[in-house]
Amino acid sequence: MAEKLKKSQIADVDRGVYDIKNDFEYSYKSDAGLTEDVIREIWENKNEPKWMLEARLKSLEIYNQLDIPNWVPDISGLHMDNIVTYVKPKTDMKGSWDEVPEDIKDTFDRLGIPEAEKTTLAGVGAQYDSEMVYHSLQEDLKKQGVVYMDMETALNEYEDIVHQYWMTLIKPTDHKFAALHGAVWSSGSFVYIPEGVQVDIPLQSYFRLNAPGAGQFEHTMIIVEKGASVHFIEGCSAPKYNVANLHAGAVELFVKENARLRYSTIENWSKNMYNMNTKRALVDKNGTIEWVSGSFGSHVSCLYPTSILRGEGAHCEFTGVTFAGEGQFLDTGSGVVHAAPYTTSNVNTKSISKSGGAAIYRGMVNIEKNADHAKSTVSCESLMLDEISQSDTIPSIKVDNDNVDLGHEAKIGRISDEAIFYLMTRGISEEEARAMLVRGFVEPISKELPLEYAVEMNNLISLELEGSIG
Amino acid sequence: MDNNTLLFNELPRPTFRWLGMNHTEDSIQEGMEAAKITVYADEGVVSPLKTNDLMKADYEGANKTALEEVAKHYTAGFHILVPEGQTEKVEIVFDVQTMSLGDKTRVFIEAEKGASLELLYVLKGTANKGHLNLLTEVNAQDNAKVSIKKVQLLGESIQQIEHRYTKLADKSQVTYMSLELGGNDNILNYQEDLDGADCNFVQDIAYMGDKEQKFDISALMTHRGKRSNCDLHALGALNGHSKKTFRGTIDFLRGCSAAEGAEEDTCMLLTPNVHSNSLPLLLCKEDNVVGNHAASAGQLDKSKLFYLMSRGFSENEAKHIIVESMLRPLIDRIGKEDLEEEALAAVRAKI
Repeated sequence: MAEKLKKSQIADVDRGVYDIKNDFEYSYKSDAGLTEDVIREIWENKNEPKWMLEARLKSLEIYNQLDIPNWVPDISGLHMDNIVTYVKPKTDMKGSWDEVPEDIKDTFDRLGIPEAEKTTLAGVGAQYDSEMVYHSLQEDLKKQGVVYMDMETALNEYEDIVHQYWMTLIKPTDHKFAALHGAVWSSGSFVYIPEGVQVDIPLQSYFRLNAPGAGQFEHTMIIVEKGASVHFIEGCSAPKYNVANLHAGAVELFVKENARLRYSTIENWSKNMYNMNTKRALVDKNGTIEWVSGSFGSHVSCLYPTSILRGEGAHCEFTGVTFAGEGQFLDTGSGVVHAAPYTTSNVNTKSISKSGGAAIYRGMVNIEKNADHAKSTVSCESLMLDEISQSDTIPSIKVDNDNVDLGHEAKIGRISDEAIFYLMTRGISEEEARAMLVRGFVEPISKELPLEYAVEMNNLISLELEGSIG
Repeated sequence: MDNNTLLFNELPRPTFRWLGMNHTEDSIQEGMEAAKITVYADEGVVSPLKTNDLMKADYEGANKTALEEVAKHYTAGFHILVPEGQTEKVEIVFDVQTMSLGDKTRVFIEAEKGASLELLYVLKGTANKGHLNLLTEVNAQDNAKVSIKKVQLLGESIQQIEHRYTKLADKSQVTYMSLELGGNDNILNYQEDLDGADCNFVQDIAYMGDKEQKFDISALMTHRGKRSNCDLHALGALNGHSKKTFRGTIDFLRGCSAAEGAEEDTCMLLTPNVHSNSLPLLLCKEDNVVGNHAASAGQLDKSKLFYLMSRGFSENEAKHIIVESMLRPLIDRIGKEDLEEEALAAVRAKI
């Protein structure tokens, strides 16, 4: 059994449990690079229907035609020819942790997943490299018709539903990494909440990438039927290697009439990771999508969860925090498309940059022609903790209807010397004063996080600020 | 995109391409004759311009081709020089009575140390086709004060392309106020380098759109000087099928400690077919700064409308009052009564 360490949260100072590597073992892995042969091999390995092969090959064709957008951060360190797109761990998916190989189980133990399953979760999925290794759901939810399983199993057992929704929200033509995902996707979670069912306890999927030089391309599809509700938590991490890793997952969320979905993510990839993830939600009449998004890890991130409010009265709430440290370029934000009357959105983001890190907010609000009485408020605040970091705000607002109410505001600055001085006059050290003010800055976000993540975030801030004085 | 299509007002930091907001695609309209230009100034202050070089070599204006057209092939060029410590007032009136406007005017302003200049641009006339291409370069030296007011009342089919580059030295103060009421296709590009310590730049842009009018506004304020300050307000109302695109960028470069910058874009939407785009960017590589931006769009304040209607005004009259009251403070700053009346009449005609 690997050495048991104290869980030291999401710091670059000491990433603790997140950086413990297992030996790189697998039952199958594809060759590095992206070719038609690689895709056919993945398809054969996974025993998928024929239409999926066609979809994969079409995506590859699109991938080869698209360029990388001119606005993305520098990703010149990412060479697709070196990325292994499929790594099958040395186990099949299990329904009991006891059946999961010891070293993989230890990894998830250290991340606290089995423990959380016992106390605070209604269902758990655990993906290791390219495949789910564990999935479970409480019996009473199964009886109510709730489905929570890995995507491959869903593709067999619920093929019609998966086929109907598959990459309809995130199309391979959207951008190069969406096309890449369509070509090489593997595993992920499928969630179906039947009409009227309220899932009061969250479901959580955790994605762990252990293989060096590999990519993870999980696909998450959640369908929340009329009047139903669920809270889904997504966690992700990887140990640090000297070679580039790639994450290009896709999350497609379908929120039907009067339904509610909260999607919480704490992203804690290692700092050799290129995180080019795509997330979208389609919200019907009076439905609600709530995003809670924490971006702490990765070398480069491009992540902009987008909500399409297509039903009258649909609502989006986005709460995000980004913390960029040394060597990180985190280009994150959100998008909202108001495509129906009386739709509303609130976007609230905070970003912090330090030690040369770059935190970029890139946002988009579109109010379309038919979105009468739409209301949108966007607030972004950025905090720079030193003079070598970078913080940019790049919002775009498009309004094609006069009967709207739109407000956007952004602020950028540093911790006020007066506030630090005040706290120090009350007997608090400079270091603690600074940490208190940063914690206060992100407090509106941390209160939206699940408790364990909020605690983690506060610990992270303390760790990040250690030694940053003077 | 055909062969004549050019990219105007490109965003300094592009964003999602599918939005189609990183630039504006347009072409330069044909035009024949130059405007009749009258310059009012004390003797010796304004002289013919004798250069084809740009004050800032890599300034690209609203579009590089359009900028080169006016920089190298201007039909009229003026050099305004305000010697050290002096105060001057200049008024330049572009009167367009020709049928086909094809004007390229270049103005280079040098305000030496401690000098003060007030410049008023008046753009008006009956021409109903063609384009006006105006380049203004401003070099505000230490402690200089430059104020440029612009009242634009061009005919409703005219294309107006304006490029304005400004360099601010230590403790200089530059203030711009523009009233954009005429023209059909208005492409405005402003770039300010706040290089000096304690320099101060304030810009107010007001517009009133109607029919198919377009206002494409780009502003880039780059802070290098310590304690430099910028403040930009774009404010306007859109009627008919008019469209406004605002691209405002405040760029705090490393070293501009204690700088402050703010930009605000407020757009009042009067009819269902208008379009308002806004991209207020804040770029920051210096921690000791304060940067703010805000953008808002919406209809007339319903409570104000209700209040006025409860006092006996019709809905249309109430709308007039609200829009007028929004633009009036800027109109009152023109400082010439007859021109203020003309501007006010132009606003009223559009509501």
